[in-house]
Amino acid sequence: MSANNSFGSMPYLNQTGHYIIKGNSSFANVINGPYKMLRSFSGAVSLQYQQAHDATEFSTGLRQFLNILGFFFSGYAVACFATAMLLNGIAILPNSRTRENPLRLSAWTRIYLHVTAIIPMMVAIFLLNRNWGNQSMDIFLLKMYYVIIWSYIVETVTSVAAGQIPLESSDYTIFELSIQFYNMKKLSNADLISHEYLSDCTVAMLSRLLIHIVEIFSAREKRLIGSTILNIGYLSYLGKVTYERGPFAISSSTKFRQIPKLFGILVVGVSAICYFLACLVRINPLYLNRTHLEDLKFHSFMQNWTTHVNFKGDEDFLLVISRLAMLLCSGTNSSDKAMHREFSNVNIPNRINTDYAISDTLFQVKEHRFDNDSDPLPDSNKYRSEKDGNWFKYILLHVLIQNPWNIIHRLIFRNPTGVPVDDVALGNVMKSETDSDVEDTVEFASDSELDETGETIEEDHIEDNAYTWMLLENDLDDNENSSSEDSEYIPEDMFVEDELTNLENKGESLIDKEIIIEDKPKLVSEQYANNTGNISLDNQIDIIELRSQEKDMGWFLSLQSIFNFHLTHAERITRSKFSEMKAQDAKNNMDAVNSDTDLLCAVCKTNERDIILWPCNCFAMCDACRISLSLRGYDTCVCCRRAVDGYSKIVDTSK
Amino acid sequence: MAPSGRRTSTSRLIGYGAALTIAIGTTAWLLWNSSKDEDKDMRATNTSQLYKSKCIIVTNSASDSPNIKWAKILADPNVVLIIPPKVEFPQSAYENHVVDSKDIYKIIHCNTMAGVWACVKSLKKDELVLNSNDLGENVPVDIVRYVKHISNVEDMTSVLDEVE
Amino acid sequence: MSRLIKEYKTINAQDDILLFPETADNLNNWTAMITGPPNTPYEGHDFKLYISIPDAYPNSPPMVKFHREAMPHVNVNYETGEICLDILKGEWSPVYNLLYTVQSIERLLSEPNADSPLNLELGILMREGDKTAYDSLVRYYLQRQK
Repeated sequence: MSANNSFGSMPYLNQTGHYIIKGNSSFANVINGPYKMLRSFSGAVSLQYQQAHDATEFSTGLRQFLNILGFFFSGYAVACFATAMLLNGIAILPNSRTRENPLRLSAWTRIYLHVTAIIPMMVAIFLLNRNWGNQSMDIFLLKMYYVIIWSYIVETVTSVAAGQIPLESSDYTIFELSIQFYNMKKLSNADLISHEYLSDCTVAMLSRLLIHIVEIFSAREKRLIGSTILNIGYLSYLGKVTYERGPFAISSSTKFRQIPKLFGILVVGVSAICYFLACLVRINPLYLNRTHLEDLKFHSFMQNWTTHVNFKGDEDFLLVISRLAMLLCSGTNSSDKAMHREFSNVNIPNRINTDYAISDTLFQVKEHRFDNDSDPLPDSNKYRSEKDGNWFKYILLHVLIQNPWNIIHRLIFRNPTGVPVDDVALGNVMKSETDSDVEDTVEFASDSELDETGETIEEDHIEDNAYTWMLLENDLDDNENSSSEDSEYIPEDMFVEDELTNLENKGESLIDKEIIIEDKPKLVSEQYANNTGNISLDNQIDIIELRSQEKDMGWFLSLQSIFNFHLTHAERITRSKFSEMKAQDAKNNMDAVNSDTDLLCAVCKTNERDIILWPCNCFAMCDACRISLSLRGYDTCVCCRRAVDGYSKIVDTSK
Repeated sequence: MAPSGRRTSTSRLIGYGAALTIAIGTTAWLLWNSSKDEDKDMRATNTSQLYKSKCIIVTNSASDSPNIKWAKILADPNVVLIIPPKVEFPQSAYENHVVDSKDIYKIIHCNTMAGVWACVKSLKKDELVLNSNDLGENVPVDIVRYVKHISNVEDMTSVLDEVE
Repeated sequence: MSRLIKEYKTINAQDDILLFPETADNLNNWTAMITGPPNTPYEGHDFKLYISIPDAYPNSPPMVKFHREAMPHVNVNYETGEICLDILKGEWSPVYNLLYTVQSIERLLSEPNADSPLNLELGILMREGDKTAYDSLVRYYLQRQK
């Protein structure tokens, strides 16, 4: 009794009724003792908190502070913390071990897990909207929060098992949601602004629902579309509420969450409208074939904005819109910063496929349509998906402005010869240069092997003098083995007599061809696909003429070797066939050679390449060379001479 | 002290004078020598002017003339023939057209008159021999900047004979 | 410099391009022999190129010249041997190497560019389209040097 009396003022010390293991054994005491101590500690804290909270003499500031403190001891915070630990464990553990994933889920397990997340979520959304305002919200809200947490766990587990990065909603993280739920619990009875919490909460759950649905149909790339619809719908709903009930009808946390989106939309919208108007002004009806769109400062950016934003489609709306808005805001001229502007990193698998490294797209990260197509006619689906991705660009610019122009133009000046140019040839690496570079590396590799076998050489410690002599000796050996592969790149007689006289006559029509090439590489390449059958000497002359007009003769050189082949073999040859043959040649050499030397920086030939330049995707430099080049004012790509808008580092995730 | 000081000053004066004379003498001698060299150069150019380089625009009258010994003319290293458009200069038709194979490069065939004048300007020979009547075209004004002398002759035979 | 050494390693003497440092102890001055491409007036002639490597190589282009009064070509100054080629000036890119430079110059022989003439008269001939005159004038210059 005395013991019970002594507990009177401090009831939390009486934990005799609580235990983990029944009985009075020493083992039970060892376990139960600390448990009881913990319970009494938390009981003391909560009691003190309650007492402090109930006391009325505190100022509002202190009350808020206590509110926050209360949050940290609530079930939401604990659940959030535990989940975060768990998810981190799931996400990090398999990655830290090996690339081979030990955890593998069958397709049905995956779908089952997602369904277990979807059904409670739907029920929760339904009940939430129905039961709102009822008295027993406390427990219900906590259950809902557990549903959301389950959704997170399912998503993380399934995507980690599939070797993917889990999809997250960047606008509703579990931490933010836990605060929100805590607030909702506090406010559930006061009906003033809780209504807006309800809608916010529903949207958060809907976006989780979207993630699961997308995952079930394994259509991650469609998530952005759904997320965009959801967000724009919600924003317009909030707009309506603001219009009807004034800005104070929306809770501050909702405002806080939606303002970045709204701002992003505003920036993008204003930029798009400005650009559209600028395009509209530029179009000169008197010169059908010259729209001067490429004079616009933002032309390059607008042409390549999808590459700049660097999205795959599985991001959510907020992420993409804020990235785009940041890009638009960070400088008036997107080419100003050139190589100084860093974009987000690109992750690549540890081993770069050697096929890729030695093919004609040596410096290209993204595979191009024509290069890997054994079929010269590109399949139409690829185009469709391309257009889906670029709907904005296509609708805004090409459909509204340029397509009618080109159609009219083609009707007026019927253009008989399809110019066999695709955007690979146009914007890209001088192919012959690339090829010779490949061979250089190949030869270099063989040289170094020779060194190793012949005599051991410490490269760095040998003076130039002695080194050169030694090399000369090596060279003598190499001369005998030197292959005549390069004969294909060395121009044969490309000097056509008639060319000189034709040059000026055709100059007129050349200009518009140029425009087509510059503005609409895709269109031209489609033409090309249709006209591959007609490659003839006429076309070759066209090419030569075009070249003399082009500032950049790179793409001409890139085609030249193909045409030489075409002429010498009297065989129709497409670009893809040609690159296949070259790749085969190079691969034969490559297999015999240590493949570690492939990825040396094309500038210094010392470090490994780790920089990708946007928007051309060229992958040829190391960071040191990028810095030194950008300090020297290079603002075009070293490979393809396209204007550089920024760069990304390649991060090897496997190391 | 005073005499010795004076002696030193006079000897120093003599030294200065000697140095000055030597300097002046050397300069004078060098100048003289260089002017002599120039004289030599002048003489050399004078002698070469006797065999001054020639650029001959062949017209039909000259081409058809059997009297001109082209082989002999072309043997001169400083002579170039320019064959304007529409002028025949067949190697086989006339005996006097047969030229030593090592000299064939000195015959420049042109397809346009602009080409003819561009060749003349490029070659920068001392003398340009042509017959503007035959040519049916006036000599461009700026040609005088590229050749020292233009011999516009009616009968090319007489001029070309001088070459021999 | 290390890049130059590496480049030296990769250069194999090719069928028709010879590229080597002038002296073995100095990689800053190179010479190259290129042969005239077939079906051009340069066929059958060899040309020597003098290449000097600036300190900033490969960030700035190598300086390449023909021997003076040896190369009658639209884009070559006949008196000085200076070459007008885009990649030796503003269009240089650090990924190019010496071999590519020399190959480009060889390519220039078969593809003269009338838009940037350093040899005005040959440029006029080209623009006039008088290929016969162009070829025979070039041949004249080449033969005369022999």
